[in-house]
Order: sequence, then structure tokens, then C-alpha cells
Amino acid sequence: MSSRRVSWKNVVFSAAALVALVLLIVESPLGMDGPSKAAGVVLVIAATLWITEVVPLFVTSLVVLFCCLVWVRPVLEQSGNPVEATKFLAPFFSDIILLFLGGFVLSSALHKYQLDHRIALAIITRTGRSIPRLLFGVMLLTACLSMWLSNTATAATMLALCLPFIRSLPPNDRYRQALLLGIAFAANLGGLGTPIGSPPNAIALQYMRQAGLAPQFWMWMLIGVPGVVVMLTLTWALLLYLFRGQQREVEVAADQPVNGLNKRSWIVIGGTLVTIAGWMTTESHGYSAGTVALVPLVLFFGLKILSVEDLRALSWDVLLLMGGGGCLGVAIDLSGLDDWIIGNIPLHDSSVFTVMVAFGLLAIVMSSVMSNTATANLLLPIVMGLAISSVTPVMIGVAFACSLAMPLPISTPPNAMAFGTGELKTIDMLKPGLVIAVVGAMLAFSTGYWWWDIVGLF
Amino acid sequence: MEVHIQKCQECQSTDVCNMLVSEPGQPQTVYVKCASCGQLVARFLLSDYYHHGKGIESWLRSLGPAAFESGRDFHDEFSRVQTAALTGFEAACRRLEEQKQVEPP
Ligand SMILES: [Zn+2]
Repeated sequence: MSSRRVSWKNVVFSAAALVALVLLIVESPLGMDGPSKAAGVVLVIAATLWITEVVPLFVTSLVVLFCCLVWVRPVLEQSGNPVEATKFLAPFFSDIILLFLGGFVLSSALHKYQLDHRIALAIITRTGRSIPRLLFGVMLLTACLSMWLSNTATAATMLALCLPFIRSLPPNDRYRQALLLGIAFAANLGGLGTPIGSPPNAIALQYMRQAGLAPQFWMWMLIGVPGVVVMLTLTWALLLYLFRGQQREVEVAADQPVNGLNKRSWIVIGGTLVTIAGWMTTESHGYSAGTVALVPLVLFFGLKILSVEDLRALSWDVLLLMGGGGCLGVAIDLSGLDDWIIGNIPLHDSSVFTVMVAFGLLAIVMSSVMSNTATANLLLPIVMGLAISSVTPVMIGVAFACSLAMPLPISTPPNAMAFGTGELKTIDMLKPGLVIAVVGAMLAFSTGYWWWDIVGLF
Repeated sequence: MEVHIQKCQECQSTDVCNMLVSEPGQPQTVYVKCASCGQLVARFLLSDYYHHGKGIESWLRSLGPAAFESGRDFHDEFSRVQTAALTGFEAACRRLEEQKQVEPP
């Protein structure tokens, strides 16, 4: 296994090194000027490192920043377009990063005071013992939590909670696989629902905001939540069809005792509700979503609901990963590489719809084998450069496509977790994962597109 | 590497019992109690608990609100924890044997 992975990485590396070398040696490859050549090499380096993961994903972001500061910026200056270094640094602490940081803080507080666990337990014990009903309840709950918590945290919480009763089913019962896959897939799908549900959404929002095209928080939910509900129902039916077990009922024992709510838990609940309300009403109060995200940060750390250890334990690596995408986007934009790419792909005269389908399919293929966030980081700046009248649906379509790709254990962390239980074979995940990706993309490009038009997205 | 067998300070017994305490939002705490005289021997905090044989299930429980971004990363991290636990255990056992041979009790 490992030797095969090494050789696969070698192939990608050799190809990328060759491309980068050609770009470097040739004076103006395919009509590129100096700055776009520099940005092109940085793009090839970033893509290679993000696809192969030879260094941690966030390190690649820092490599991008380093290359931009020591190479792209001087080249831009030489070509008569001086750029402030802060242009490249800004994406690492933008309004959207702050929004995401707020999401992590909510996630951390809800987890620390076991509110995620408590909600999950309360609902699971009420879904009844019939397995199809329990599966739907578990999936709906996972998706709802994953709209507000990270997909990883949601999947970990739900798997830890559900594994005891999944393991209480007979060893050969196919419902075991259905429940495990249901949790993983629902955690991925739930990310579509809100701007903070998954990093690709936030990255898309960041670019749309720069262009003055960003939908409001509630508007995103109006687009995303119906998609989540439809995809969840289809996935549930598909899993029941593919993994029909023998046992009809399961004993759900609430074996983990949960303490009563204390004052701190109530502050967390109140702070969370206020923050969400603030995000939904940015239009009426006029503060940005990132500004609203300061509320839980100040409240929870100020009142010592969360400690400095909790602050250190936040997923800063994910924020750096998102920042690297923004930085790459700045380089692609300022160097004119986006214009060069658009001029060289035969899509620039196509309709919005064709562009969305092309990039959506590319996003599904890429995010099936690599990180969703890294995929969004590579594709969205190019989409943003497209000179089409309505870029918003394309951005959203590509962001959604990133969350729809889940055929392999390595496609997303929730998949890796479900697979790590040892109950699944790759083919168990591949079959439903491929169907979800294809059906999801088709729905987004048909009903979804029509729905986005109705709600006034474009 | 230095390896010690935990001993009760009161009665020198090596017969100890670990009490694992989990409290929401707190790192898991282990209280080591002497099985012979019942005294407290030690207390330590766990940042990362791996229960061999229960594999991923107990590890997921201790994972917290972290957000991983890569499926490969998650898989590698779990393999690392699992391998580190086993090789660490074997190394400690081996070291203890060597120490015993150098300085017999
Ligand atoms: Zn004793």
C-alpha cells in the first residue's frame, strides 16, 4: 500500500517539476508575461503539495505566502506594478477567517459543555428503535450539527455516540455499514447548509465579497439547507437500498450519564443563539459576519467559559490553510494569471451554466482524492477571474461540488473516521459515494440552479 | 529512556490500581491507588488516550472539537497513535528487562 502511494506521488511530483521547470526556463511560455509566469509556478507548486500532501496542508499555505513575498511581489514591482506586502498577508486574517474562527469557538464551547452530545443523545433516544427511522434521525442530527460545528468534530461526536449500538448489531448485519456511512455522509452534506459549515463555502464567500456579490448568511442558508434536506433523504434511501440488514430494531441505551445544565452551559447556549441571530441579521444591524463572530470569542474567553488551553486547541491549521488559498488568489489576480488561464481555456465564451458544470465536475473529481478546502483554494480564484456576468452561482456550485465528493476513505475526514472503525470495505463507500456525487451534482445543476434563480441569487 | 515500575510510597507495593476519571471539558485524569494499603500513589492528566483493542472508538471520544482538513491526515494520525502505543510499550518492557539485569533488586 505505502509503496504504491509513494510511486503515485513520484509521478505527480515529476510531472509538476517538469511543468515548473519549463515555465521557469522558457522566456514567455505560451505568451505569459513575467508576473503571470511567477504566479503560474507558485500555482503548480501549491497544487502539487496540496494533492500529494507530502507536507501538512497548512504548510503549503505558508509556502505560497513565502513564494508570493520573495518572488511574485518583486517580479510585479519590476514590471511596474508595485504591490504592498499586506495584500498577500491580508487573507490570513480577513473577515471570513474571523467568521470561521467564531464558528470554531462555538464548536469548542458546545463540545466542552457536552451540549452537542446532549442534543444528540436526547434525539437518538427519541427516534425509536426501528433502524430505518433511527438512521434517518441520526443522519438529520449529524447534518444539523455539522452546519455549525466542523465536519470532523460532528463525525467524531456522532460516531463515538453511535458506535456502541452499531456494535450491538449482529456482526454480519448490513445496517452496521448503513449507520456508519450515514454519519460520515451526513457530516459531509451538512457542511453545505451554512457559510461556516465547511471551509469551501467560506472561501467562495470571501471571493464573492471582494467582488461585491456575496449573499448574506441567511441567503446562503436559503440556498443550502433545502439542498441538504434533499440530499440527505436521497442518501438515506440509497443506504437502506444498498445495505439492507436483518435486524429490524436496535436497543438504544443512554448509557452515558449526562449532568444537568449549569450556569456556564446556559451562557454557552445563550451566546450561541445570539451569535447565530447576529449572523442571520447582518443586513439590519450592518455589522459583518466576522464582526459578529467576535461576540462568542469575547464572551466565552472573557467569562472563562473557555480557557487559554481551549484557545490553543482551536484548529488554527485549517484557518492557515484557508488563508493560503486567499493568498494564492491574490497572486493569480494581481499577476494577471487568471486572464491568461481564461484566455487559454475554451470556456470564456460559454454560458454561466456550462462554466458551472465544467468547474463543478472538475471540483468533484479533485475533491474526491484531495482535501475539499485545498480543491476550493485552487479552483475558486480561477472561477473568480472568469469574465462572466454572473459569477455567484458558479462559485456556489463549485463550493457545493467540493462537499458532494465522498467516494473514497481519503476524500474527507468523516469518511476516514467511518472507515477507521474497520467495519467498511472501500467498495462499501465507493458505490454510494459515487452515486451521491453524481446525483448531487445533477441536482445542483438542475433543480438547484433553478431554485437559486427563484430566491434571487442572480 | 528511563523506565520505572510505579510503587506505593507508603508500603512499597507495586500492586496498584488505575482509576480513570472523565469529566466534560476536562482532560481525563488517572488516580493511581495502592491496591495493598489504599493510599493515593499518583495523579496524572491525559491529553491523548488510546485504549488498545478498542482502537478508534476511544480515540474518537478524546478527539474534541478539532477540525481535520484531510482524510489522509486523519488516517495517518490514528495509525501513528496506534503504532506509537505498541512500540512504546514494547520498548518500555525491553528497557525494564535491561535495567533489571544491570541492577538486580
Ligand atoms: Zn501501599
